Formats: sequence, structure tokens, C-alpha cells
Amino acid sequence: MMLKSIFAHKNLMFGGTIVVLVVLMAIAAPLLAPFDPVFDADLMNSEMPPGGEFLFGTDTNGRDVLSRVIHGARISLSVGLVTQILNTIIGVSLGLVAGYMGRFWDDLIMGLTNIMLSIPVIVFALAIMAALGPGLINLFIALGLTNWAYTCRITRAQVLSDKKKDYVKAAKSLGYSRASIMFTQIMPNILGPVLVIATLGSAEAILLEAALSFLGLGAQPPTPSWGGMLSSARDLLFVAPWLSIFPGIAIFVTVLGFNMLGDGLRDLLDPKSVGATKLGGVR
Amino acid sequence: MMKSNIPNSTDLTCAIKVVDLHVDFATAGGVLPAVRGVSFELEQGETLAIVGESGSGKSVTALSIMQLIAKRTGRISSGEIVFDGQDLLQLDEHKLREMRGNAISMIFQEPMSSLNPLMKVGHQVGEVFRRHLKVDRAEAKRLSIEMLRKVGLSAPERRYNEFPHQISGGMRQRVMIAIALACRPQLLIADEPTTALDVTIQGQILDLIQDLKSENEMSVIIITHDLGVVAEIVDYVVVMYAGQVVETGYAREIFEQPRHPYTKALINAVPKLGLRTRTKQRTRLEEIVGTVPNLLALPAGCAFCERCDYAQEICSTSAPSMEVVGARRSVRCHFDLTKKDRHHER
Amino acid sequence: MFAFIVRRLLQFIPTILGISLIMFLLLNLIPGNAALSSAGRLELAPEVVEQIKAELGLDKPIVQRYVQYITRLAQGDMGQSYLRRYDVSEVVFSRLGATLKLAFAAISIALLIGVPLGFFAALKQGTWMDMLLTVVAVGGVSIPQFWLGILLMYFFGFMLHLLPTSGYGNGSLANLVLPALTLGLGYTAMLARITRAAVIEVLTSDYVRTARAKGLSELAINVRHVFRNAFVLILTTAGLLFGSLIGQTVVVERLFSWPGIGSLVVEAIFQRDIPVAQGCLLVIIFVFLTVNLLVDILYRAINPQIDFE
Repeated sequence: MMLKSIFAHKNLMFGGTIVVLVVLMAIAAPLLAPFDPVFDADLMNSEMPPGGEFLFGTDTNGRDVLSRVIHGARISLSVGLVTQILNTIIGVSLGLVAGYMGRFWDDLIMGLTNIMLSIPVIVFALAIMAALGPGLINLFIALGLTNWAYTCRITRAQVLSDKKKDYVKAAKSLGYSRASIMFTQIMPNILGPVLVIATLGSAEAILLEAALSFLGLGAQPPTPSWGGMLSSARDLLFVAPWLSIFPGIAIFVTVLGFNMLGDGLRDLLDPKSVGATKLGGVR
Repeated sequence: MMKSNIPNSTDLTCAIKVVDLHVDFATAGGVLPAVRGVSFELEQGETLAIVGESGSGKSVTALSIMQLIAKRTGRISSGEIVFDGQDLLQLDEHKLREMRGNAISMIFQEPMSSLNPLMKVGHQVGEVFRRHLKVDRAEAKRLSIEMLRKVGLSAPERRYNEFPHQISGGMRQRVMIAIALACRPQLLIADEPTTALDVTIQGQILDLIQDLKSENEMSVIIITHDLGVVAEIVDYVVVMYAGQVVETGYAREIFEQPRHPYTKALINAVPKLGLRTRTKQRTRLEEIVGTVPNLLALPAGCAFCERCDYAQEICSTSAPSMEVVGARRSVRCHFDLTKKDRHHER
Repeated sequence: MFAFIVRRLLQFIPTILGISLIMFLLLNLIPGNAALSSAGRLELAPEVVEQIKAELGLDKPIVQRYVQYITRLAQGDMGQSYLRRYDVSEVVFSRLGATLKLAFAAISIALLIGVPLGFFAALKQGTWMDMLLTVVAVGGVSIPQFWLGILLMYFFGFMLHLLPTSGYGNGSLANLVLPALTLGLGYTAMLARITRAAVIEVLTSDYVRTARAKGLSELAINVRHVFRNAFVLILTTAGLLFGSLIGQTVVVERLFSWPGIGSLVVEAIFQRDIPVAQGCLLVIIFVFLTVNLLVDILYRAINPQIDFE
């Protein structure tokens, strides 16, 4: 039991530290990176192994891999941030509509939610990519439109339970508008779960962006996206393995950070799942 | 229903003897001493009640006899549990398994969660026969049906094939009793056997335990927080508080003349002593004010001091020790309630 | 049970209809013109475009096109490729076998390794082995699958020269190993985590205590009481897990040049060959829904309680 509560905090501390470091790296990328990630290309330095001037080596065009990995954090974090903002807005809005309007709208939205939940996110994202065509912006849209189902469910459930509570009825009879009830009652209650979903969603979105960019559907060269870097490194795997190693580590560590942060937040906000120190059953 | 013979404490008539039992649990807040030096003896054929609030250590004591305390968190740190001439705490796991469900059996509080939801109830009874009597499937089935009939299940052949969720709470507890009594144990431990049941069912279950007890010549330990429920069927009572025994004695003596203020309070919390509460309607009872002390930070003095109506200065500074005050009767209090000159109501 | 299967199959129909509608709208709202001109054809004269559109039926109103589409779909006809004029159903189904083989192999790896590992970790709860397994599992969930594939390729293919790193190899087992491991290992980690949690929940249950009180051996307790009940808990999440696995075949197939539906859909998206992409995605969803249906039926078959809930 003791072990578990420390572990929960470990998750939070460890994940939080990683995320903060990656964020700092993204913000300070131009300062940290020894070279420009795109324009400092020199074919004379093509495919140099790690060491010396180029700590992580260079790619086919002689660009510094370290600088590209540092700048790649900007893209991955933008993916996490933008897609989760989009998903959260969509999820919360649809949840509010379903909860308040009820009837037809509720059925429609919950039907849609169930369909979204019954299909892997990657399949939906691929469908949107098929419609819009490859590209980083399109990928943002695809990932921002497809992972809102859980947020929607939680918001709706909160609205439904709040609708029944006396203070909401009282607030209504006192003439408070729906909007103010929403912001004073509903929002604080769903903030925690939504934050957890968005944190874990960020991890998922970063992984998916990397995967789809790897397939060539996302960031196009020479954009320094981790997934895109791995994509162009693929054919050189046996010749220049460092091109495949470092961006992969960057994705792994970042995703691990968001996953641990999300787990830690969940344990913190929902003590039940930590298996709160109960002596039940032993008495 | 009290035993009339004068007790003697030779091991021949002793069903089980617990000596200075200590059990600790590892918790986030440190080591929690759930049981602190519990001793009692149970005579052959007696029914004993261990009474106390939740947190008193009564269930842990019962689980210690079976050695079913979760090993990851709990540990029996010292003591002796003598059964059938040997100290159970010295037995190896193999011997313990031979004994569990065979010579000593246990039934639990929650008949719903205590049965495996995915297994037919008949198989759950049959499992015990197969384990301890080494009989084949067909024989186990025959014995199980017979056992289900014995515990009062109608149409036992049909019940045999049903799953726990298909039968009522009272019936589930009957199945639990069938499991426990399958191998005719010498000792049955019943941990709050009726607490989770309807008031109307409670009496039936206790009657059943009582009937099977006399039929099988076994001894019974009933763990309960409600003296009233068991008043009619117990011979001997052990009252526990904060991990310690605070009073022991024959049931009639305890009910008629409690010596410990806590025992008195428990009795006052029982509606119409001696009658089972068969109706849900309860008169307003005297509640015991306050809560059980935190076992992680026990007071220096008597653990009951803060809630006691008779507490004096000495109670908060020095912990009373157990004093023998009669035949199998003892009390842990500075101010034994029967010694009138010494007690002053606050 | 039979009634349940029928009811569950009937629920299948609106779901697949809803999904096909969403897919259809998504993929057909963009003007046919754009779809065609980006489909690898260079500047075409307007009258040629109109001709092709008429040929493909793209000049009709969208509602009519959907009705036509769904009617044909019901007959197993997914239309024609924009690009090469082949029959979509035929091509998609010819690729299905390879995808199912890969998915099945990966699921088997996840089940055969993940469940025992999780079970073991739960029984050893709190020991260093448990901690190690837990840490590895958290890592396994966070590792990008295709990157794991790249690493496996490098070590087993390039450094050790043990296994082929690409292609179907006429269905040889050696070619299956790396793609299946790549697809399966992440899910092995997830399944190990889920199993561990489920087993720990069951181990602390009252009925396991009852089993102990009966004097049963650890083996009998684990086999008869712990595993079955834990498996019911595991099954509730396993369906979703395997669905997501089927989605991930897309990435793994592309990485290993595995000739399944996943490779096809990525090509189709590049070429903006909408009917092919649509067909592939629908089949993937169909497989996913079927897996979930089977899991549901299995869940019900081993859990008698559902009958009355």
C-alpha cells in the first residue's frame, strides 16, 4: 500500500519532469540547437556517425541530427497541444449539448460517440487523411477530430448528474443563466478527468503523428518531425542506424513522460484507483 | 443454554486455546498492531462469541486461527494457538491445508462475495469433499447434494447446478455453511455470519448453525459486533477492544453483570437483551459515543479511556492489566464495575 | 445464448450503416474534381473530367450516390478503383488474408506472453520481479511500435542475420516473425498490465479467501478460482485492445512491406484513390467489429452472471 502511493507520486514526478524538460527544449530550441535544423545542410558532412562536431551524427543532406531532434520537440508538442485542445473543445461541447438538450440531440451525439469508440482512432485518422490528402496540417485536423469520445461521455454524465442536484435547480430558479451554471458547476467537476484524458491523449496523439509521419502522411521533408525523420532514415537503417535511433528515443521518452504524468494525475485525482490505504477485510 | 459442567482447563476438553497472540499489519502509516496479546480458551462443544466494534481485532483473531491473514501485509508476530494438542502456528503450509476446511472451518460475513461467481454452488461444496475425503466426482456430487439438503436448501439437486447469483443471500450463506461443515469440523469459526442478511433470515441461519453444532459435536466461535444477535446461543463471551481482550466470562454472567464499562455499553446497545431482533423496528438505543482509537498511535493509558463514562485520572496514564476475577472470568479495567465502592459516575 | 447472438448481430447492422455513412460523407464531400485531378493525373481538359466523372458516377447527387453505394456494398461490391479500374472488393479481400495472419500472430504473442507474465507479476506482487515487469510494461506501452520494429529489424535482420526484414516471403514463418513481434509486443505489455491488475483484484476477493479456507492447494486455487475470474475481467478490455491492434497493422505492414490491407490503404491515400481507401478502411472496421462480437460472445459464454443483468 505504501509502495503504491509512492509509486503514484513517482509517476507524477517522473512524468512531469520529462514533460517539463521537453517543453523547455521545444521553447529554447533555437538556443539549444547547435545548427539550423533545415538550412545548415552540407553535403560534405553527409551521413557522419555520431561524435565530434555532430553529437548525434548527420543525415543524408549533412544536417545535424541533434538540432533536428531538438526542433522536432516543437512539432510533437504542438501535435499534443493542438489536437487535445480540439478534442477537448469538441468533446465538452458535444457533451454539454447532449446533456442539456437531451432527446434527439442526446441520441444522435451518443450514437456518434459510440461509433467513435467502436473504431480505432488510427482508422478514423486515416479516413480523414484520405479525404484531405497527406500533410502536417491535415494530420493535425485528423487527430484533433477523432479522439473526443471519452471527454464527451464524461461531460454528458456530469451534466446529467448535476441536472438532478438541488443547487442547480435553485440556481436556475434564481435566474442564473445556463452558461453561468455551466461554468460554475459543470466545469470544475469535469476539469480533473478531462485533464487526465488530455494528458494521456497527448501521448497517443504524439505516437500517432509519429506513426503517420513515418508512413509519409504527415510532416513532409525537410520538416524536422521525429516520425518524418524516421521515415527518411528507413532506407538507410543498415548504413546509418543513428538516423533511426535518436528520433525514436525522443518519441519514446516524450510519450513515456506524458503517459506517466497522465497515470500520476489520475491516481492523484481519483484516489479510488490507487487502492486507498484501506484496512478493509483485515480489521 | 449455558453449559452446566464446571470447566477444567486440561487440554483434553479444550477445543482451542489462544495464548498471547500478536498480529501486526504494515500500513502506509507504519506498523499497525491489530491484535495485542489476545488469550482465550474454548471448551469442547462450547459456543464462544468474540464481541467488539470494527477495528477491535476480532476478525483478525479469527483469521489468525485459520492463518488466512494476507501475507503481504499482515504477520502473526508471536503467540500460540493450540488445537488438538499442537501449536497451529508451528505447522507447515501443507499441514495447515490438511486442517483448513477439514478440522477447522470458517464462514464469512458476505455470502455474496464469498462464493465464486463463476462456479456452480454444487461444485463449490463438492470441492471440499474431493480435497479432504479424496472421493471421485460422482461421490462428491452425491455428498454435496446431501449436504445442501442438510443445510435446508429446497430441491438440492436443482440448486447443485445453480450459480451463486441465482440464489438468495440467505441461501448463499446456507451454501457457505454446507461448505464449512462438509467434513464435520471440530471447530467452526463464523465471522459475522448474519450481518449481511435480512433480519428475518438471521435467526434461521443461527438456528441452523446451532442444530448442526449439536449434531456434529463441534465447537463454535462466532465473531460479532452485535451481542443481541447471538445472546441466545452463546455459552462464553470474549469482549475485545482495540486489539485486546477487555473482558471474558460465561454469557449469563457477562449479560447479568458486566464488569467492564465497554461491555456494559455494548449490552446497552442491544435492544431487549436475550431476544433476537427479528424485526427491523428498533427502539432508540444508547450508542457508544466516540470512535475506536487509532491503533497506530495508541494512548498511554487505557485504550477505552476517552469514551468511558467511569474514567479517572489513572485511566489516562496507566493501562490496566487483565485480572482474573472468577472461574474463566477476567476483566481489564482499573475500576471493575461490580466493585461498587470504587466507581464514581462522571 | 442464441437469442443473445441474434440480438448482437442485429445491433451490428446500424453500427456498420452508421460507420459506412460517416466514411462515405467524409470521403465524398470533397469535390470529385479535386479527387480526380490529384489522383496522379495531370491537367485534364474539363470535358475529359466530366466524362470520367460520369463514368464513375460522380456527377450524380450525393444522396443518390450513397444509396447506390450502400446497395452495392450489401452485395459485396465496393466499386471500382479510380486509378486502375479494378474491382475494389476483389483486391481488398485478396489482401485480407495476409493482414489477418499478421494480426492473429500478434494477438497470439500478446496472449501467450502477456497473460502469463501479468499473472506471474500479480502472484509475486511487490517483489523486484514484479517491479521490473511493471516498469518494462510501462515502457512497452510508450514505445513507438514502428520504431520497435526498426530496432528489431536492425538487430535480428542486420546484425544477427537471423530473420528476413521485409516482404511476405511466400508466407514463410521466418518472414512473419519480425512483423508479428513488432505488432504484438506493445500489446503484450498492455495485456500484462491488465492481467496483473485483474489477478490482484481477484486474489483479494472474498471467494479466494473461501477457497483458501477450504484447504485447497495454491495450484487448485489459481486454476479453479483465480484464473477463470481474472480472465473474465481481462476479456472486457481485450476486445478493444485487439481492435486497436488491427488498426495498427497499417503501420507495421508498411514498415515490413507486408502485402496486406494496411499497405494498400496507405498507397490508396497517397494516390487519392478514394474507393480503395474506403474499402480497405471498411474491411478493417468490419474485422474489428467482428472481433469484438466474438469477444462478447466468449465473455458471455464463460460468465453466467450476464444472463440476469
